[in-house]
Amino acid sequence: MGATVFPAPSVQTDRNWVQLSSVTTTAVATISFTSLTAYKYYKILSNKLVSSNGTNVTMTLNNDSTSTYSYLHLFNNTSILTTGSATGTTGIIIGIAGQGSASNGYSGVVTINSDLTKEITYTAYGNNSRFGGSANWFDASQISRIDLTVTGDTFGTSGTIKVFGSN
Amino acid sequence: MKTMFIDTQTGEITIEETPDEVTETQAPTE
Repeated sequence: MGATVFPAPSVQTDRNWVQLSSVTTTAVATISFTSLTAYKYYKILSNKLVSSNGTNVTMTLNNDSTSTYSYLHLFNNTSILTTGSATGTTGIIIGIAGQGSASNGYSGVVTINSDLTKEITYTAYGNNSRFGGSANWFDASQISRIDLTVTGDTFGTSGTIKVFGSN
Repeated sequence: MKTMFIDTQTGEITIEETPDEVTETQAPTE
C-alpha cells in the first residue's frame, strides 16, 4: 500500500498555518513538542534560538509508526536542505544534515549562526526519500513529537519558538 | 539536564529534570 504523496509546499505562502504553541526558551537542554498528531505538515518558527555555547541544535522527529516517516527536512524559507550542510541564503540558519535510516525518527543538526538577528524557520515534514532523493512529501500526521536538543549545552539565549500545523 | 515538554493540544508545559550521569571512579589500589 503506497502512501499518499503530497507536493512540496511553498513554506510561507500556500498554506494556512495554525499555531499550536508558543513558548519562550529557558535553560533547558531539550524542548519537546508533543501531541503532534493532527496535521500533515508542521512548521517551527523561532527567533534567537541558540545554545549558550553557540554551537549546534539538533532536531529530532519522532513518530509512532516504524517506517515511512524517517526523515526530517528543514527549510530556510526558500531552500530545501537535504544532505550535508549548506549556508542559508539569509545568513541566519545554516545547514541541515540528512543521515541514517532510523525507523523511529531522524535527527539533523542545525548550526546556528552567532549573528542571529532575524527570524528563522524550520519546517518538518514526513519524507521517505533517501539521501539526495527528490522531495516526495508524505502525510506527516503520524508524527507525534518534535524535539529540539542543544548539543553539549543548554538553550542559553531567550527566544520564542512557535509550532504550526497545516493540512 | 532539563527537558521542557510542551503539549501542543492542551498547552500544558512541564519541565523534567534528570540527574546528570555520574561516573564512578575507582579508588587506587595500594
